Amino acid sequence: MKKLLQLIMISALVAACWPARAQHQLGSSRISGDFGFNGMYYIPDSLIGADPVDSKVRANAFLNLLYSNGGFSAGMRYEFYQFPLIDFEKLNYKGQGIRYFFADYKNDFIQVTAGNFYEQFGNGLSLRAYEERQLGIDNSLLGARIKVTPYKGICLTGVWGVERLNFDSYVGRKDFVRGVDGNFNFGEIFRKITEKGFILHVGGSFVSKFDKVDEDIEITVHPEPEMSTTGMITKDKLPQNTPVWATRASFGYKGFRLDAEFAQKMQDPNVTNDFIYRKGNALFLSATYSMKGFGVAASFIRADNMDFRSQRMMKTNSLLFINNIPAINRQYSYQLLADYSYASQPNSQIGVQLQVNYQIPKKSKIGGKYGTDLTFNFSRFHNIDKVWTPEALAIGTMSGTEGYTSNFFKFGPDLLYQDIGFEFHRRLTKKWELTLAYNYITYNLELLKGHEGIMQGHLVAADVLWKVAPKHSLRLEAQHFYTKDDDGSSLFGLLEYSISPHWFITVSDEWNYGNPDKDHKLHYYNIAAAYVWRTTRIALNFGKTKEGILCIGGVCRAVPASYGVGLSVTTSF
Amino acid sequence: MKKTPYIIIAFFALFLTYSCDRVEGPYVVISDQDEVTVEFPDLDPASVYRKVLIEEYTGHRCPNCPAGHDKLEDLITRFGDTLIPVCIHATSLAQPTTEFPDNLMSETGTELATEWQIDGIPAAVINRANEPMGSIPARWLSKVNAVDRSHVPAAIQLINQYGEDGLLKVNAKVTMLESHDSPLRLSLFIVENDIVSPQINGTETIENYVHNHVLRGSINGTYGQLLNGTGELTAGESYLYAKSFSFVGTNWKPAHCNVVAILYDKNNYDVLQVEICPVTR
Repeated sequence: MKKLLQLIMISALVAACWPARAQHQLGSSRISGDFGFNGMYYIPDSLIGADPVDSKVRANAFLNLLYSNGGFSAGMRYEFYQFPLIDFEKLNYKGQGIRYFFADYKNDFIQVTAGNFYEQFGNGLSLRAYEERQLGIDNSLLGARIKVTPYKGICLTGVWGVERLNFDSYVGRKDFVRGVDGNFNFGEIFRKITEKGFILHVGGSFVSKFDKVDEDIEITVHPEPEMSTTGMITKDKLPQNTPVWATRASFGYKGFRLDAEFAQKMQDPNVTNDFIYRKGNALFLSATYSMKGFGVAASFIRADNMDFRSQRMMKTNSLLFINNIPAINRQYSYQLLADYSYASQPNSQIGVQLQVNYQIPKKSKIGGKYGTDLTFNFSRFHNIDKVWTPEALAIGTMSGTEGYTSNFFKFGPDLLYQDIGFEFHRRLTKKWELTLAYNYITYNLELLKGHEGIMQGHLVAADVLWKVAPKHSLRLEAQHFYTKDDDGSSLFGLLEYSISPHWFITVSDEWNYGNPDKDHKLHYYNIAAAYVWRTTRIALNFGKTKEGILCIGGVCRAVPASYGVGLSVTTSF
Repeated sequence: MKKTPYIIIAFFALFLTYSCDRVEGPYVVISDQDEVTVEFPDLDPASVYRKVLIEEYTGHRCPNCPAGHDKLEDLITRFGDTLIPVCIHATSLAQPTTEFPDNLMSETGTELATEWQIDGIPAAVINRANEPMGSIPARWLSKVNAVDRSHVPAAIQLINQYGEDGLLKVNAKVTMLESHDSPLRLSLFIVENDIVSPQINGTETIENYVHNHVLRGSINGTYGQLLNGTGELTAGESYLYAKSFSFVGTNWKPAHCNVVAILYDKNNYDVLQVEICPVTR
């Protein structure tokens, strides 16, 4: 009966939104929105680790509605995650209700928002309130925001709000975030700068969190090597207000661009940094140069004690993150690399990323009729260098002390992630396209996944696209990942037939043939079909998903093993 | 545009009002525990067995409590030194009156009774399992039997040093025999035997009733002290702990008293190990 009720509720929600396919215009008013439904029927499979679930039918659904009239707009989102997909249940993203609503007024001079809002200052080192639905992240702030543009090229922003924590109530919360940001675009202030081909932006932000202190923190100290005892960080020694300030600049001239941002966090003893009092800091640098047929991009990032959350006792996944330390490594869509995606480490990482793109000219001997794209990529990340302070050594723990000192540009002893990659892309004929890729990945399983050891693996991938006929195309993707570590080697193949713009049919299989456990040399097959009609997409799939991780922009979540039939519907109106 | 300067000033004023707390060190206070000055004998993990804690809630004006005490003694006979009893005089039936003038209650006992929502007595909580209101005597045996003794998570070694000045120093060494992934607390209780004081039994009052295992109080707080902060406990690792207590000003007889050390999970209260040691030898 319970399952039936679930189905009815889910179906009712879908049905309620189904007819709404057109924008509604009433005079100068406009109502628009979008709807998404992602459901699955789970089948237990003990071999892949897909455990039986208490409700076999699960679904995530949401409905966004937006009303706008001139400079005024108001909106809300209803979310139905009462019986969520198991990935989200594990994140405790479970519940239902209107969890996002706002009213906004905007003119050339000022924008005022009340309710929930998303905001990012600079690269996000001090503030990034954002939503990433696939990861179950919604760090929206509930409060107010003001943006003013007192002069062309100058934008000042002020925010105050309480961060969303899944479906938990805001009532009784004892933490909030406030911040200001200023951005100065000198190219707009002084037109001559732009006219001469220069780009110059300067900005700064200051974000402070308030987290009421309710209790003392007990820690273990080791005054002598063989001895453990209790240490206490009393309430009066815990800062309630912790700010992060950041400053940034962008400079560009013709094909060259340089971006830099530096942030510093003041005392923030919390559970993720083992309650140390050291100031945190982060530096992000990016330089790019591009000209016709050639591009190079180099980035550097260092983050030291920059996990900045609304509540000092929160350490789960990405909950209550106020800022975001971006992952600068190249992001891949290759299925077999998904499990070894790099997760940004806000408390300890230093790394570089270099990418070079070169196009062998069209109609040349080597480049062929359509040209050939070559991409080389290198990235390497370590933890940061740390030397315990004398006081930390004296009590045998960093907790309750300044923690450590760190040589700013020295790479720490542990390699976290390395990627050396090469990609070749060429349109062979009017109907055929080929992409070949090779990657050598080194991945610290212990520090990034909590498993033991270091994984080293080689990926070889080929992607062939054949335009069978006008609007009809067939895509073949083949990947081989070779490693002696972790779960061993795998093969992956995918065949996708598309009839543009309506139909997409995909068959794929991942075979973990090199798994050291012979009972786990398993196939993870998937069959999927999708139909697109105007702004509506309906997709049905059946198959198995391997346990792993899903990362978007360096932010990751665990993906549990699953087997079953899925249905997803998205539409906008 | 006339408003512009005011708005900019307002922004900066807002900026300046933002607080930034600056805390000066030292940040941590080391607990007031004493230094362990004794040498503990080497531990043979194979010789350690899991002991079980039974906390019996009782009261001298409780007509059914003597039957509960009998049941407890039966269990002690059956399980020997692997069952460690603590009799907690709590609830209104433990309150002193003119007919029952001795106060066998303790602040610690009252706090524990509140924590476990003890209402009717006699009742017992075995190994602090999640059982609100405790269980009735008829279920005590099955509850004790239900404790999984096939694995021994930890060992506790106790050495008491008692001086003529009435000062007791309890030295404890906890050795983890298995890893444990949540914080542990160590509580040190004092229990007293052979207290002669009236007790109601059914409808009659026994004037010279002998009360045993009576919880007198805690040496390091009702919930004890944390051993390992927020970290994981590793198998093979040992924790030393010492705490002093003065008998001066109490009417407790040190020669009749024992120290009971209870090692339990801070999060779910599950008792991993319990040990007992006389105050004097």
